[in-house]
Amino acid sequence: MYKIFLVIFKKELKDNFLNNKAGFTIAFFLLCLLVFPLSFGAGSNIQRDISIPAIWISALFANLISLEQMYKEDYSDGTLAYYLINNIPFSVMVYAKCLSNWIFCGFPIIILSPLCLYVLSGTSFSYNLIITLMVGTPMLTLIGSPMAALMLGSKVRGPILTFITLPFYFPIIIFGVMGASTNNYNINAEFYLLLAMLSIGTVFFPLLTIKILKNNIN
Amino acid sequence: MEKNLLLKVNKLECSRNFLRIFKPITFKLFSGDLFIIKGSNGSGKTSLIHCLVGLIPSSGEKVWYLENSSVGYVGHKLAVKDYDTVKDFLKFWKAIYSSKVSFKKVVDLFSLSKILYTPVTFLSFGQKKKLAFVRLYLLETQIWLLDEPFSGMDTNNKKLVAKLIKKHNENNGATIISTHETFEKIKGNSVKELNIV
Repeated sequence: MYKIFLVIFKKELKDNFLNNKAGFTIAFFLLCLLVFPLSFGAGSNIQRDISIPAIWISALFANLISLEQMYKEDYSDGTLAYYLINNIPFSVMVYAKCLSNWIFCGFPIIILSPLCLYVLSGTSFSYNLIITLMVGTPMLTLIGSPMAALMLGSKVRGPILTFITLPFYFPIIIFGVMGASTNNYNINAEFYLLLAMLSIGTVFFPLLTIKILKNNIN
Repeated sequence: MEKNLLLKVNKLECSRNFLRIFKPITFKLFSGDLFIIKGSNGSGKTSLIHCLVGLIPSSGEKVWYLENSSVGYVGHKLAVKDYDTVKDFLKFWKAIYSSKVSFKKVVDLFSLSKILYTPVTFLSFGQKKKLAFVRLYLLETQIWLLDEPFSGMDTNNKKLVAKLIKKHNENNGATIISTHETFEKIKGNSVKELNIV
């Protein structure tokens, strides 16, 4: 079981790396972030207040973009069908995919966020932002995973996927931004809530994904 | 050679959108059997195979008697990734199946040595299909379900596949083939035919 996880995980990492999917996601994140200072103009104080929500919103959109390719290729070329027929455990496959998706689409955002915050607002290092992103971005991937599986057969995947997934991201972005905002010195409540969501989601969403995938393959 | 019962199918039916695809089917499959499913286009050959492997829901009785419950399958979708090289492909599926078949044996048997470092994108359809058969070979299972195994293959590869099937059946395996071609290359000891309407 663990061996199969490693094999699929390595394969996913390699695929993500070779296909430049990850590079695209991060580029989209940075580009999306660039829109905010441009739209507020120079010399405005609003920039400093808006920088943390801006980072969160960009992270959300970048994750939305990356969701589409999560199971698409394996579905269309029949790899998922072969996994199902040959009794390769789907749980392992789903966790490997989620983890590799987070490593390429969530982790770089966490790394880049302090720099982005500094460039956007001039405020120095903020632990709150990093911590909330660290708990929030895996959650974005996990929520997106069953949605991506749900939309596999559809012809107009992209728009519908975005439309369906976005409402489920609301709680994450609400508590994420609340927890990370600079004028909130006591982040414990939001942080605990996010952590609770993550711990439930880690179990629940892959289960949901497996159920959906097994029904969706034909 | 002792014959073991591998699959028992009793009144298997499959319907999609309340439309029955084929009439109820009953048969038994023993080891060493070559089971050929015949029928015109759209008669439900592929659907029957998908029912048997469990990709689409079906009603009726369907019991597998296998030690490790995975069956070998080659279908229309070949599940080869375009950016992989042939070697990556072999390594990946060998690790996934934790197969004991040696790398060299596979390369020799399927004569892959020339295309070992070629990305799959540059291969022809027949070569890709051959890779699907390589995966089937790596799985080392008792039963093979092949959906149109000869379509898109040249004479040499057809011969190779026929040889593989024959060898597999001699080693206590069983093969189910769906095809509308008539072929005499495979002359096993027990060939059954099923015409589905």
